[in-house]
Amino acid sequence: MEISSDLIIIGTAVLVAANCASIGVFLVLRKMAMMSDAISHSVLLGIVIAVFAVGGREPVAVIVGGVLSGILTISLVELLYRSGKLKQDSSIGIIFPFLFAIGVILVTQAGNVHIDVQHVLYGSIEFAPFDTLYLDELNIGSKSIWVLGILAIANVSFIVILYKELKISTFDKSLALSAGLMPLLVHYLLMIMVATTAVVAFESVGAILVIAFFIVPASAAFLLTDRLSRMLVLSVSLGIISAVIGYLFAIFADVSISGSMASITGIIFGLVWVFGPNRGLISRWRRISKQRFEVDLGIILTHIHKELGSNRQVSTSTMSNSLGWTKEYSKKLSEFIQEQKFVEKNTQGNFTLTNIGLKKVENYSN
Amino acid sequence: MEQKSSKKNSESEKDYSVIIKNLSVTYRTEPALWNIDLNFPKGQMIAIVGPNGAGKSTLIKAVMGLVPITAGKVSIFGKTYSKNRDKVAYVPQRGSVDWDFPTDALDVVEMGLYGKLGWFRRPNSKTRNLARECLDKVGLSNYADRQIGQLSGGQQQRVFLARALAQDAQIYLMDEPLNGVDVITEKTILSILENLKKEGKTIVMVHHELQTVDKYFDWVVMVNRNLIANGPIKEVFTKINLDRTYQEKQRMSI
Amino acid sequence: MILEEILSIFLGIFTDYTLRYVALGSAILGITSGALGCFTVLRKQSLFGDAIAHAALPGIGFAYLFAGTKDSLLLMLGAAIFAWFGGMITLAITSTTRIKQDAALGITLSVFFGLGIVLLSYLQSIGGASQGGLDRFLFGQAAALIESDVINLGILSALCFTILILFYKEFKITTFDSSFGQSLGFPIKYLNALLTSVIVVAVVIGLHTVGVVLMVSMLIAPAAAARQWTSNLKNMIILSAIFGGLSGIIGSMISSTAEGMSTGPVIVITITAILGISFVFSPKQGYLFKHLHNQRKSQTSLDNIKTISDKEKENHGNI
Repeated sequence: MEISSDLIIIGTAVLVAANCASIGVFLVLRKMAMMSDAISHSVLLGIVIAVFAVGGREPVAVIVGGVLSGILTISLVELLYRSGKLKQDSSIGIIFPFLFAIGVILVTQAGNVHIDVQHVLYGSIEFAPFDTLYLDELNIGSKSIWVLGILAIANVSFIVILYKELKISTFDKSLALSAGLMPLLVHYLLMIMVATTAVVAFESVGAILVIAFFIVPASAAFLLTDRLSRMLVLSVSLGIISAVIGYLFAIFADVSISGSMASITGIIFGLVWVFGPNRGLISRWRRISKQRFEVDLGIILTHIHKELGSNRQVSTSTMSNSLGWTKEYSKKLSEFIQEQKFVEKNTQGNFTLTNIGLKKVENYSN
Repeated sequence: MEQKSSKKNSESEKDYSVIIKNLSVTYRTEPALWNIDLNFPKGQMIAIVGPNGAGKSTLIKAVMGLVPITAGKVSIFGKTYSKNRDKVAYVPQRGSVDWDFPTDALDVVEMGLYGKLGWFRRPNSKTRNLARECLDKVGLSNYADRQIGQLSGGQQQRVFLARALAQDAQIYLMDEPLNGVDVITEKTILSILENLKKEGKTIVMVHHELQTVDKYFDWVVMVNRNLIANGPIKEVFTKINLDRTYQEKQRMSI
Repeated sequence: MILEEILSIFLGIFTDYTLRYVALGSAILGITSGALGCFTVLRKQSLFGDAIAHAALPGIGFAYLFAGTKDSLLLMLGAAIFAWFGGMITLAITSTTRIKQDAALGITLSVFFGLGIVLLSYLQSIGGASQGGLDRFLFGQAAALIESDVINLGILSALCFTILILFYKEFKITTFDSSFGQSLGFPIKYLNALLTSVIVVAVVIGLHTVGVVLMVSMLIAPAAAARQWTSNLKNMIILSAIFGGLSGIIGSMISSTAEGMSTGPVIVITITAILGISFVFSPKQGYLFKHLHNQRKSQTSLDNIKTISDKEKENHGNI
């Protein structure tokens, strides 16, 4: 059964994206995005040590090594942070470069390790079709697909089984804390899933681009929905789309596949950021302009009411003087309130409130 | 909707250090302050009271242009704030600062003189001596080189006051300075402010404790997004006004 | 024997032509990022430095794409522009959406870096070897520094320090109490922008010696180490610069002994070691002294308790 190399690469990419994007939702919601930065860098050290220890790139050993170093990272960061000497983000910014640096040196200095420095940063998904798994001499297909597939099952199980706990501990920490031990357990389990996913994805897309798949589709999804379930679906979908488009572009332009995929996640995020319904920049700008106008309307009517109550006159020119607005803006507002029949202008050019206008002012005074 | 103001419009504007007209401050659709007309009389201890979120801090920040003003005007001794900045000293809330910052009490007080130094000029022995004097006035001369995180809450508050004193201003705008301080600090601060008052300066303080308002202050501003009342304690600090100030406000529908 | 080797390397800084520039360039990086890193850390923007460092990568690629040559200045300009751009995007995301700072940093960091990798691979495919080893900016390659590079770095560093000295009190007040500073009339927004720009320049300097990926450590670790020894900002900045410079020199020296080793990782390990030493040994705050102090304290308390209980026994007899 010959499956084309392209398909295997795309399949790998899609699985990486899906795995990372689903876990990434929780990272974004729990404000732990930079933890993924830390873990995805430091898994290198664990991987390298595992490869040394076992003498080859045994998938199980590599995963165990990576996860252990991921846990080491989290523990060191917590230690540093709880000692009171450093804030949390400073701790992160010190621990992961340190562990990553050690990993890089081991990689470059130990000649016969099958990892090279570039691979560390952006992976080698191109080689996925050639990295095949053999079961008793039977070629059962690409290693990456198998491993990622199993990871996907693990991730999905994790999310489904712990869905309620994840939801509570993400959105309502105080409620979760009163419920007992679970939140801490959920936290550590989540970190382990992050480390595992990072290690497995590492082979394909390397240390830094893993972060793109963890954070960017999830953030875009965050701008599109308020519901956790929808956010998960959207995040995974956007991740998969990015992976496919990214791969196609990379083949077309003959550039790095993983870099391409990461860039596309960014472009999709950009589109959602600008054009997204409700939260996108454009609809936000429209909404804010409208809101500002409403507020100023309230201000001007209340002002007129107050001045009239003290037997003072209000005209377009006094308006801009008293309220500190430009003459042009005051004129625009005065025209509006006359059109809407909130006020009437008398012969001297001064305003009086109509009944409708009066009603509107009453609204504001509660 | 009425505003209770005990001062007639016939008061000459020269008796007031700060004149606020038609002030509204809004964040998106939520008004923090709505349509406020208010004057701060010279040489008085003025309290600003109101429930949480009533806009008290916003009011003094608006006077200094630290928050954008949606509508209205503020004049300080007849001019805008940017022209008369050196006449106003601001004492922010204690929690607004990171007390782990590597600096000592003397250094913080000296920062009060940065405005007078202007760009590029460096603090020198003159500024340091001035700062030391101010620290002395609040009774903290022995703590000059103590890192600020090692000071107690009351001592930190006094450092802030010393910094304001260094500015040698005419108006002091203070945000809850007596909140959570020890008795000594409170006494020290109040006596210093009394002396400033005697020199004709205006003290405006967001105050959190209603029981002590009539003991410490001459004038009160009662605000809950709108101005509820404003005037001398004896006339204005009444139960009716207190009830109106502290009643639950509906969300304004805009 | 080892001592001789170390000595010969150390002397090499002064005698060996290339080694001199390696050491100098690394020292310049360390000093500048050490000093300016104090402000990133105090502003709680440690990881912001990580984002802008990664954002610089596509800038280098574009500069090479358009200029064609390896003109160091042009590459640095490209890096600076994109680093700055990355910083602005991060701020824009947090101020216009409900996305929090950590995710915004992650987005900027990974997307810009991905773009940079695409460019590098493109340059590789069209130019072959003439891509000019731009990948040395990933982990830093101090050994590739030539005299003109070091001069440029020196000038940039001098610029950073000039601004730091001119605006020292303004930066201090902006970082410590920005609303108070604003009330005094200082334009806080512009000062923040200026400070960010100077940090961008520090990052650009660092790209040569430490590289994009590890730069963040050079902005945080020297400052954190210095903070263990002093509670005075000026001293902290000076000490941080010294620590940074030292780790730059030591790190690049060590990496020069091995063939083809990137300098970045070694410098980072060095400065982290200095940080670790500071944690343990610094007076007042260090663990060692705290431990000794506690031991003495608990011994004293034990002695006191014993004295009191002895007195009680005398008074009441054995119970």
